[in-house]
Amino acid sequence: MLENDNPVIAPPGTNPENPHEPVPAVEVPKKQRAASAKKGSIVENIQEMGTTEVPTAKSNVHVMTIIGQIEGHMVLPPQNKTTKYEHIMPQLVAIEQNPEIEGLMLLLNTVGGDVEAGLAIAEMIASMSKPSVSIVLGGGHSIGAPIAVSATYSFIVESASMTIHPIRLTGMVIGAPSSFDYLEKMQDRVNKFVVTHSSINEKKWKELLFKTGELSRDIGTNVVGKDAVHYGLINEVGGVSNALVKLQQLIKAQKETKGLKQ
Amino acid sequence: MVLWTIMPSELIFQEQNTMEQSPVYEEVDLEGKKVIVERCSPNQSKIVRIISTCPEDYMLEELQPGTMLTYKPTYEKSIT
Repeated sequence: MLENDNPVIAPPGTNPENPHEPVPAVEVPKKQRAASAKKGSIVENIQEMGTTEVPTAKSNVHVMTIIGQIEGHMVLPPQNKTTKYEHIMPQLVAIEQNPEIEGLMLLLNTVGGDVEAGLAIAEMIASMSKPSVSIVLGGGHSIGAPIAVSATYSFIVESASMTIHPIRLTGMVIGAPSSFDYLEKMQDRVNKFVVTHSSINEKKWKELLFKTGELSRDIGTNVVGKDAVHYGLINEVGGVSNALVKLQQLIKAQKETKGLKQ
Repeated sequence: MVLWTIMPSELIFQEQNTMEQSPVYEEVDLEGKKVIVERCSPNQSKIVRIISTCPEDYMLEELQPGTMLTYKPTYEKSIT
């Protein structure tokens, strides 16, 4: 005998497709639903893999983006996109200290910023024991140059440019010789860093720095892609894939030398 | 502080138009992941940026920029 499971007259609270199973009463709020979904996946994990941990692909390479203005002692107005010193520095320490992280990739697209904060970031990267690779994308201007060269190996994409120009207080007249000396000294600190961390020589760097007729509002040079490599400022022209391959090579090489020491 | 940049200082330090309010950004910790949020209303914020060096964090659906977060104040029982 047939059971009367006509969907039209199915009693309220039952699923007409499957009358023996009650339908969920009300729609679960979004947040709760997300939580239950998470719980479900954990149950699934226990059933399928015997673990409560959700398997995630762990990357041995961490990425740091340096974008916009590099912010140091002063908080810039909110319309500026900034990379903050206080975010970057502890992250660098964490990367250096975490045994699971083996390499660092730096993505640069910066218009410059605070000289001392920029130099601090550059020195931190340069003094790390783990290999690092930088890619200049779009632009790595002014203080971006020392940060780009601070990595173990640097890349620049063909379309990216780096503006190399002297440090100055824009729109201000240097009245006292001491303020000129102050800027001169600051410039020297940058020059020294760039020269020691890249294959450009001091003469060439200064020539780029004080060139006239290249920039419309300033003296200096706008170095594009291949030229940066030609001057010895950057190691190679290339993008993400080149950089990742190089970084894995550096990681491998470092592991081998470490193995020899032990 | 010395800024060494290609951006003209008048662009960096331009006066904000008093008619339109400048966005309020806050740093928030979401289960150990740091994000920057923009305040939209007293109890709602929008994720604008993730502060992390781990590339996987940028793939997490719940941290995608544009996600709205609701802030709910709660009372806590005082422990005696």
